[in-house]
Amino acid sequence: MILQSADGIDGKAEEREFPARTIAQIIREKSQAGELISRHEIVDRLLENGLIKGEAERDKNELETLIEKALEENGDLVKLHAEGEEPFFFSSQFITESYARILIQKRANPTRLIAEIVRENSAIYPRPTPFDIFRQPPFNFTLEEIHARLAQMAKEGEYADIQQTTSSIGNVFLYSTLSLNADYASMLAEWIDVGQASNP
Amino acid sequence: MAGYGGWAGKVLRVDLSTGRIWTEDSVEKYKNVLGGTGLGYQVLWDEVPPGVKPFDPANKIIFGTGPLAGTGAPCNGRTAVTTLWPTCWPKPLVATGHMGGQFAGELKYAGYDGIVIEGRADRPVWLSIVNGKVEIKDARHLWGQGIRRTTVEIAQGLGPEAVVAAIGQAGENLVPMSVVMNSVSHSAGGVGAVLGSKNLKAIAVCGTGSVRIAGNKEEWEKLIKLHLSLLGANNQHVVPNSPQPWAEYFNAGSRWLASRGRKWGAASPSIDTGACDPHDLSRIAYRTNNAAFFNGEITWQYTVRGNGCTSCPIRCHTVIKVPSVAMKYGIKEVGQNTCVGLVFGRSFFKSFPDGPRGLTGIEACMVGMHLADDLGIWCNYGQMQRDFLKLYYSGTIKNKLGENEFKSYSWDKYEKGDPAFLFELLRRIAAKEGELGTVLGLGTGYMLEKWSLPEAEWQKDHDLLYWKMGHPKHHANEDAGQCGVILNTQYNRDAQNHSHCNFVRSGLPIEVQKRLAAEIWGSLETVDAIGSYTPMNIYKAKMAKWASLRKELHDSLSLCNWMGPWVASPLKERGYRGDDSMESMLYSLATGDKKSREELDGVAERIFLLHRALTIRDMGTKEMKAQHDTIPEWIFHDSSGKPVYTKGTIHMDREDIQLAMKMYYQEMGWDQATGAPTANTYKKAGLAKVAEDLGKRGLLP
Repeated sequence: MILQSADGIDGKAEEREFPARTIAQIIREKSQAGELISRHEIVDRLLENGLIKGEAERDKNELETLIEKALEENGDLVKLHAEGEEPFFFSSQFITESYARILIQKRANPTRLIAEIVRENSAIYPRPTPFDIFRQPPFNFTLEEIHARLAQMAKEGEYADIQQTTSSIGNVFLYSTLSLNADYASMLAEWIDVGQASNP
Repeated sequence: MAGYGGWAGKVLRVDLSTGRIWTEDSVEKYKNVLGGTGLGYQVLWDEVPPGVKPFDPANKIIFGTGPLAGTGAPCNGRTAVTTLWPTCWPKPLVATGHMGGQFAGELKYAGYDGIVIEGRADRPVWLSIVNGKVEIKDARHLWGQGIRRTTVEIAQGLGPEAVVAAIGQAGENLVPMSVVMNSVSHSAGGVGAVLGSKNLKAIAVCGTGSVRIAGNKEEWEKLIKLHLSLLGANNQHVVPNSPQPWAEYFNAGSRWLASRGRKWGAASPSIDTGACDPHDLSRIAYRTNNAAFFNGEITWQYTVRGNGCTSCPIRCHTVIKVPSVAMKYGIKEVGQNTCVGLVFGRSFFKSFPDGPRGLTGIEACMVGMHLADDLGIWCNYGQMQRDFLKLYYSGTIKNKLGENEFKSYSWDKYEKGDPAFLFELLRRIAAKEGELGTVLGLGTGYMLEKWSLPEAEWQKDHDLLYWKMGHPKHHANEDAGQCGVILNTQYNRDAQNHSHCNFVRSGLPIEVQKRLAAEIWGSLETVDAIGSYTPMNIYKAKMAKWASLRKELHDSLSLCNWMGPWVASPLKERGYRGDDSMESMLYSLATGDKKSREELDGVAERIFLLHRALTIRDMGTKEMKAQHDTIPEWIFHDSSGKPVYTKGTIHMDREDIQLAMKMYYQEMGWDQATGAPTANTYKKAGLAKVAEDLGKRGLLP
């Protein structure tokens, strides 16, 4: 791999600093738009901008080293990946880990994502999660997808804690029985959907 | 003035009976009560004796601003309108309506901290204030007009910068359920008829001055930036409604609705509200969309923008454009308001043909705003609508009205959820036309009395949310349990106290709330998650005292209690802490009168005690616990029959609430048997003369 600075000057002293800085910048720019970036996308960006030459994809080890260096030198950069998946990178200046996990799980295991969101909401606030939230960004699931995931959950024992309750105006909420009982979840769903707006 | 900043320096006095106009030095006379409600209570205590009635010429109505109004402090656009309250039942007592908009700032720029109106003009008049030139002008050509035309006509004469606070036909006709309104949609409820009784149609203000900041200007700028950085969305919701890149948490009940892809669809071109990272202070105004919060996702396509008060970036009055209403109802397609004002029309109906979050509900909001904000009708935090629903569906309206009057309403339209029904009903309320129009305009207490309905029935029905003295609850046991209950016992109208609910509805996880609460009130046990309540403890009483004092402080400084206090923030790097000293820091720098948080809370306590003293004096009893601080039956019941303090219920325990009141009185330095402040408590607050007066009347414990 031949590394080149923006002004075209090659030099050994700069070789390792410049691309690490540039990689950090690429990750931050992507994060600023609310998105994660993969190793492949980093390479593409470097290629697009003429910042690397040649058969970069073949030189994986060197690129990994550079990304690791960028992470070491920039405390805001984070590497995160789902089990058995390629890592993604983001800057904590613009994206929180909880948001990054949503984006990663969405690609890796949407069913588990829904379950984890529901469990977390039930546990820490505590509150049930409106079904409709999964139709909105950053989830953007279709109605059919959500129903399919819920049907899958109903069949699999590891999701037996995920249950549903419906507010008086007909909106469905999901909750985890690990943290909420049915009555409590029902009361909280009504509070979120009807109570708060009726008690403004 | 003695070199103080913040205050304009003068209180404007107007006697409409004699036409006399004069001023008082506001700092010399009222600095100890700051302004706003403090000014109002002081004037009523000093000048309006017990026995005066709301519509008597001897009653006074005080438009009070505080030292922060008109400065650059965020959320300072509040005017407190204090008077004897016409809907307070069975006996009118002191209370305050709070209006935002541009009135407070403009009044300060004209050179006044407040206006005290007394007497009664011999013909309809309006008050023109152009800096130092104050005139009582003939309003006979405006009498009978709505608020909108009145505003336009006056502004055409004074110029586009004029801020007009006007009453509509409801106020003119002495309908107790009436408002005064400025800047299109900013109203103070309950006071319109007091102005009407004085034949005062409007107050218009033009000011070209400024408010001086006494402290170092760089420090002031820095403090404003800190304050802005701690703001959430409306009601200080610090957690967004859906997952955002910058956020650790989200809360589907939050008013922080901004998100990439959610657009102000009726703006041209449409505007994406975006992620709204809290560090980007230039995007605070995009966070809140109250029209969408109350009417659902469909509302985004009708949203034009947010609107709001002087120096407030929150813009909680959402402007919506709904073209279908022009064709269907012949009204303007653009409207704006917030909260109960926004849903005024919708709230009369049980259902709509296209469901609870469809277009018809939005159209009902538009028709309601068009009528109520022009006729000047007050809803009493939605109590008018809840009363109406109860009366109709229980058959009471049919029983009480004569056949002809009953048939004169299109009840078929009403039951189908047709917003056109509002044209029949609201005009009659404003005109006191017929039995139904008249009783709905009286306010709940006087309505119950006129129709011989037992108040106890209202106090049992949870759906009615009725509390006491003709008024509903306002953030009671659903917000911070016992603390909310205590606060709802304290006022002579709905409590309008948001200090506690802005904290517990912040959207933060319960453990974060507990950590912040422990830092402020001393224990993790101060707050509970909603529906997971625990018994009373002293920390909850401390929180209730804090909430009482901060509300009074905000209402006297001209800070918005619908936003503050700022004890939580959206900032992860601060551990989601806000700053509980924000009010004292702003006050000290603006005025030059350096006061710590504790010292300024002490001033707030003096003001709150004046409210209590006025209430005791005018009720003629010190038995506040038994006769004033009462609690409705519905809070002690749960329809599912769950025991108290089990998960999934917010109902309260009688003995525990008795304990809560006792602990609160103790924290306040009030007598635990009567709930009346002791002589020593008044004296410590600098109100020895008040104690002396009450002592002579036998009203000290």
